[in-house]
Amino acid sequence: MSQQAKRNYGAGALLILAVLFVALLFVVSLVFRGARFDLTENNLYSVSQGTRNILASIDEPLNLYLYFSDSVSKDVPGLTPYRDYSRRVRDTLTEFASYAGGNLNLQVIDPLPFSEAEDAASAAGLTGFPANSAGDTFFFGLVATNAVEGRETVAFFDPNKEAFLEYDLAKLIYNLNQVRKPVIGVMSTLPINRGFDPATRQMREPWIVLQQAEQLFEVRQVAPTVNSIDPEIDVLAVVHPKDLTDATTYAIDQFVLRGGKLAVFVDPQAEMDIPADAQTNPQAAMFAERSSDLSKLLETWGVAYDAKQVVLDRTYGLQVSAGPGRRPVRHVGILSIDTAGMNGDDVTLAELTTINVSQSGHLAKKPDAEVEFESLLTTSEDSMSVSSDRVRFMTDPSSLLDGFAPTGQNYTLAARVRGTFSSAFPDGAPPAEPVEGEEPAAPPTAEHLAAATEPNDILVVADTDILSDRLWAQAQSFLGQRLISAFANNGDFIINSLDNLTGSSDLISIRGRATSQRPFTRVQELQRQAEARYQATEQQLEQQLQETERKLTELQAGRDDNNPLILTPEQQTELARFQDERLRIRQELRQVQSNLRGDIESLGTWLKVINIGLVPLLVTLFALTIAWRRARRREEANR
Amino acid sequence: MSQTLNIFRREIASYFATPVAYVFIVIFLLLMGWFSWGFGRLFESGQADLYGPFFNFHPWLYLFLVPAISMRLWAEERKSGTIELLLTLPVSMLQAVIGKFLAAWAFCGLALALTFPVWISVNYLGEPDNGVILAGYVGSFLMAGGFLAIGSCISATTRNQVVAFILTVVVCFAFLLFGLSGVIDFFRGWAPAALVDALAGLSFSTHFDAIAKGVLDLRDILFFLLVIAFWLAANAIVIDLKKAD
Repeated sequence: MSQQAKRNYGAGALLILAVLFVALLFVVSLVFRGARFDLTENNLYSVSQGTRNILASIDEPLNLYLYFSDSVSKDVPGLTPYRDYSRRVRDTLTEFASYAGGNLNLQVIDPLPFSEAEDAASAAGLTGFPANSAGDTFFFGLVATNAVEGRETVAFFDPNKEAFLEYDLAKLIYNLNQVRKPVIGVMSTLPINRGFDPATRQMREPWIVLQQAEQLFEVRQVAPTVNSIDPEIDVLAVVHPKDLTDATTYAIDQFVLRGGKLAVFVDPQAEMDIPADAQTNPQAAMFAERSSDLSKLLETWGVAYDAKQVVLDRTYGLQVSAGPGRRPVRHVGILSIDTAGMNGDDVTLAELTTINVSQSGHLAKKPDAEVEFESLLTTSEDSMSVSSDRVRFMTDPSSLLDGFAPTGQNYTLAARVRGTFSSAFPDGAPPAEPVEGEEPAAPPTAEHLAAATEPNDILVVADTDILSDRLWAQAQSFLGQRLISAFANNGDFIINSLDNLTGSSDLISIRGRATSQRPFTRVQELQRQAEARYQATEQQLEQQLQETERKLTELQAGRDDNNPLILTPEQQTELARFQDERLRIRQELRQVQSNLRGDIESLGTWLKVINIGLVPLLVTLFALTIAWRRARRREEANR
Repeated sequence: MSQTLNIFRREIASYFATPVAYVFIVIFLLLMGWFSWGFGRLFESGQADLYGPFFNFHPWLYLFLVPAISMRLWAEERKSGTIELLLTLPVSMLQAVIGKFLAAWAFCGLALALTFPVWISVNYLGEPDNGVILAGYVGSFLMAGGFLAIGSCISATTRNQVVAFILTVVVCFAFLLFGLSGVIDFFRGWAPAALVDALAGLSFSTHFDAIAKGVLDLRDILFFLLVIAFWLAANAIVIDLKKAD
């Protein structure tokens, strides 16, 4: 073969190789779709068993129309993340269809400008936004329908919500497959519901947790004065039951005995329970009673709860701002419970990482009660229970640490109670309370139940603030939609619990897998220790200061001459000592404060030194040793 | 197979015969450490997660360090004339190519493995998702293999190691570049969409990112293996062609 022929042959071979490479890549991307091994701890990227169960339970064909403006977005810089994400959405839906036994028909539609498809996308309520200078609209949403005019939509797929993709889609399919949405009744004395706010003279949005519940359930308001609970209600959520009449309590009692599910939120100090005159009369607001109790029912059902006791916890206490220009302080009444404080075996909490509560009470099983009492949320052992007055009249959160003596007990903040309950009204319905000028109300028509026939589950939470937005989520507007960003799992826990009580546990297994916070626990622990040290030193030094001050006062009081303005020599010495002492203590406190982060900083420095320098140093030493040995061997050989 | 193994052994031994290998490892580790803990502020991030502050820098470090390993693979043999000797041995072209490549890859693997203190550190500080970290290492190793295969082939085209280094950096840079959204957006403005999508699909960074997130997708793994196979096959063809010169 001549040189030229060989070159041509080689060039041809390279060309064929390149074509083969591209073709193989193409085949690989088609054939091995979905062949993957998810190494993430929570299987973030795999279809979970819960989703599979939901997909397998589809009993009538569902149609999914994925609208993605492929043509419009092709030449638009800036839409690349959406194009990438569209692949992920399509892959997930295709995978869903493979588990649905032919009951899920997926169609991918490219809604071209001025086409029928574009009109259909708009009509279905998908969010479109202008993609280019020609004003073409970009759509990326989903419309799902069932055979009986049921329709669910995802208005727009946000790549930032990728981790929730599976849950959002599974929820949509679950909702579409439901004959009727479960009904949740909300009886609350707090402003949790949508309503009119007299202070701002505007309509008030419901709390985020309720908005999330509305996506899954039919939520009905139940007045805290009713005499009977609508039997259509599947789960009754009683929030901050304050001053309930016997008739209302009896209605709840009978509702539970008939098999209705109950979630109770009581609180020794509900921060959201703000008196109407709080603005004009802050003094009265401070003294206002903010506790709630459902003791008549809870006691009967084996739950001990004291509406006058609040739990403090040094380990879970959150850092809060102490005002402008001041060092943040640890508030041992506002707790951020991590996985160690959660019952991970319970489906409602599995895979959640953080739940925040504020000035919570605690629950326990009554010693003689014949019920199963399962703690869901507990404090750490570094906690204690104090009178709710301590937090009620507190001006500085750090004062809660004065005299802090942990009992070593894990206090229960939320519990699931299971049992065959009996009525708290053994003698039947309570007599109607006469109201002046009104006819006595007719007694409830339903027959009185003295005891339930079947075991039932109730959920009891000793905090109402757990529901409030400020402890777990923020809402913001994006493209006209209200987007929720959660910084704790409170909402997941509440929705999981409601969902669990309505009996659908498949969705629960999918929710809450997305939290990817993996904080440096060791650094947090060091921070806590440093603070504890600071507090201890501060207390000790302040005691010394008080002691010196006391001595000074004693000297002054002990004088019997007539000239109290002139200091005796002893007093002068003591005063000078006192001033020196105060200066020293102040300096020492400043020093302690500046040392506060010392341990953490030195840990950081050490880790940096080890990670950047240690192995290179060892490798260098190793190389030098080898070189030295070789040189010696050479010398020996030459000798 | 045993011939490939022989070549592999000979190459590995040659790495550690001179200080170059140690210097390379030390530089690699110093840079990796500084990028993660200094520039990437891993400790200050407070999160036991290596995806951002550690693995994000791998493609960019490899861009310069891998060509430094690969440049001598064939260029040196050609310059010193040992290539003729190698090719007269009872070793097939492909065996020689694969043996040399595997040795360089193993060397990269060793350098990568020596970053283990970072893994110990995050496990000491918190509770990282070790599955994701493992995936990151697998992805990083595969990506290094891709870069090396390109470098090996380019090294065969020239006698000059510096030329081989620069050419490899340029080609590898192109393979990284197409994964960056800014670059893709720039091309979207005027190039045919199918071409842009195809180029984006060839990018190392998109496939590496997908793996480093914690999912070993067969398509991403096969992508790197195909890249390696393609460039090694091209490597063999190039040597065969050059033999004629």
